[in-house]
Amino acid sequence: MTTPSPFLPGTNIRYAFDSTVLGALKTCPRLYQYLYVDFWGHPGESVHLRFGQEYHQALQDYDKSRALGISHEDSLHDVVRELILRTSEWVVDEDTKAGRYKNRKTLVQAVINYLDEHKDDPAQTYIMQDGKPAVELSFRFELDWGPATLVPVSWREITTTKFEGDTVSLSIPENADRFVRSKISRDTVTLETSNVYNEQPYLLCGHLDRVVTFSDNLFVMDHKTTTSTPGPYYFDQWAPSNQMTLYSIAAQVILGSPVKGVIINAAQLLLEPPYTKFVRGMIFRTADQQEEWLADLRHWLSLAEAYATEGYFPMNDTACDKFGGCRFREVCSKSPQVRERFLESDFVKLSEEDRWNPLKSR
Amino acid sequence: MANDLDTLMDLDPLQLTSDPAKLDALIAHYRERRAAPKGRARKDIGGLVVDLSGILDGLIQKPAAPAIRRR
Repeated sequence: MTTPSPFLPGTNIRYAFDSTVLGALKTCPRLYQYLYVDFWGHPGESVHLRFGQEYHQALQDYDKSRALGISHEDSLHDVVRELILRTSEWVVDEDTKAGRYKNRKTLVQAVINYLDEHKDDPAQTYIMQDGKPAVELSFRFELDWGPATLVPVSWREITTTKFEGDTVSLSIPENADRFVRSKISRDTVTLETSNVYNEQPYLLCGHLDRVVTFSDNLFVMDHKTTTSTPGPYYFDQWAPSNQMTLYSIAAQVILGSPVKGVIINAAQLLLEPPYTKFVRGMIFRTADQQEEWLADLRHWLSLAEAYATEGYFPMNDTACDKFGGCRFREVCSKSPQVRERFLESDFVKLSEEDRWNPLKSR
Repeated sequence: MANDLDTLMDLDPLQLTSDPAKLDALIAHYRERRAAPKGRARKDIGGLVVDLSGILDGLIQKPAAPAIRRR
């Protein structure tokens, strides 16, 4: 089944966002353009992305199994079996730093270590009202507004009116900006348009790993893997956080119950025994903070629409050194006239299937 | 050893995952590996591997308490 485009037809105006795309927009409009409008990237799979996806999948499989009442040992056995089968073709260059830390062997080790260490976890999977465990919750919410723009459409009739004698009265529907052509027959006039005002609302998309009960409260649980030491400063990056606020809002909408915040399980990958170190942090979000995030979102989405309409995405040159340095820093440091050349030499335009799309089903 | 960790991981995945005993052995290996003691600090200097941990311990050794002087 083809994944729908996240853009309004015939435009670069995006209507479907997730925390990844929003994060790029908030960091730098030019970064957002390069990654999620023009889709510049590197072909092939990111080892970080694959490692993270497989790690998440394994832990989710375990949670579902335990929710069915299957024992820890049997669940772990099944998870490891499926993990080994899924990653059988995964080849990683272990001569790179990323490959030394993130490969098939370290992945299986991290999964076994996490599951053994947390087999008696006080944070328990929440069972939803339909009896299903709150695991692997994909969401897609409509906001009550969308891009306020004209979108091109195939020529379509907007109204046909009969002549009354030699005259005709025409009324143009609200969602049509203007008629572009008319067709006149002996007794009717038909108006057609190729532009209508957009009716597609914004969509907020994402995926929650798990919702748990802990100390009589509901929390979203999210897993992160890192090669750095997850001390107090590690968890500071999640407050405030685009991703964590969206998760807490999404969980409340899905479950219809208040959610206290997000529990982040950080797994530090080590190259010597015990090969992983697990640290847990909690990020709280009040109802006021969530309201504020949604109010800010309206402004951010308006900006994204304005940039796309104008066809210009300004550079935020105070963000170039963030997150270890922007991948497009070399490109942006060049003069505008030659930038395209450097983009083409260092990056490729990703194919449809490799492009990040919040509407893609997991 | 036929059943050491790398050998097991190099098996055909279908063969490994369809044999519960082999999968159990694999999981056991990963658990043993996790519990192994950390390696001592070692540095390869021109082919001679030098155990540095004893030297480092000496460097951070506390100085002896000063002698009390008789007045």
